[in-house]
Amino acid sequence: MNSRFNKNLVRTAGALVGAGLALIFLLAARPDANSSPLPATVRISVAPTGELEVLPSPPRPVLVANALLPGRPPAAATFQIRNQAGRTLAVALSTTADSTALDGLVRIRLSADGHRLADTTLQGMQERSVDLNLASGARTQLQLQAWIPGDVLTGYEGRLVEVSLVPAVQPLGGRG
Amino acid sequence: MTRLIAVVRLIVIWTGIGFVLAVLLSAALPAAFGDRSMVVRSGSMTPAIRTGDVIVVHPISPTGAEVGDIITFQDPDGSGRLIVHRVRAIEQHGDQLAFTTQGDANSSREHWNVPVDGKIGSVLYRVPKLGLAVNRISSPLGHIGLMIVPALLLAVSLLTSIWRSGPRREDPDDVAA
Repeated sequence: MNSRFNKNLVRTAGALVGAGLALIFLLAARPDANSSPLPATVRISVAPTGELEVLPSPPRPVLVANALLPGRPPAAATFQIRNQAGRTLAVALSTTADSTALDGLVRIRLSADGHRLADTTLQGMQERSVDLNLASGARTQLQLQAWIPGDVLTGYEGRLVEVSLVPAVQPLGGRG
Repeated sequence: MTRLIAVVRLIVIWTGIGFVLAVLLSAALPAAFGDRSMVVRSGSMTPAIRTGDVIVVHPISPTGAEVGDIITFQDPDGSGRLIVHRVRAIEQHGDQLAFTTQGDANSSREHWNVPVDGKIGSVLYRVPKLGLAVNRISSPLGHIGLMIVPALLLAVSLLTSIWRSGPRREDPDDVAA
């Protein structure tokens, strides 16, 4: 009787330990709720145009900023454009986006060879940048930066915006 | 010493039994309370949820979901498939909530709407790899295994008890004539 009682006690204790281990196992395997703010993502690609060769070639994005959080260092990338037209071109860039979600929140800086072409919000980039004159056959490297300023508190979390940099090309008088 | 080994063995066996039963119950029992268990068949939420995991889903109002939550919803393509992805953004447009969702391992996202008084599923927890075991059991080989393994265990148990009882003593009343 006593031995049987002890045996049942050991079995019960073992089963309880097993159930406890299962509980720990399930708690440890719980998917992360990810309550920390999700970063915003901005993918910027250049819309193709006949007068310009763009590297990396469209539709490959020139910048994929997928960890944008307020106050973090800017996501940066460089890309090249080459004037493949037979005359000098004035090139300006503006943006179109598939969503307005990050319009006033993300800042964009565009520069070429140390000259700032644009330094504004994503919304502000809908206006043309400063013109960049490019002789026929000339190639230039553009630097693109995107970031969320530290004073932005909310509204960016998890947003994903596809941005297209649209070149506006104007021929200038005379060849190259 | 032998007794100690026997006790330890008993504890280990019953710990194993308790563990397996608790894990199985954690996947099966929620159905009795209106929740739902389902096997994940794609790796779009890796590493948070992996292929072959069983997830337990609790129905909630869409207004109860927050950015960062993992939810289940009907595929917006109309196929009726259930998708498990993370909420990336929620915006309210009148009596509709516009969700943007994305699998952790995906680069694409989905946009879909649900009425404010509609229902979506919230993932409560997952049971790693249990779905693989369920799938194996569902296969023809698994069905055979389900019959053979218990039969073998029963046979081993019977044989062990026969060997332990030792040779049968002769009855003193059985005297040869």
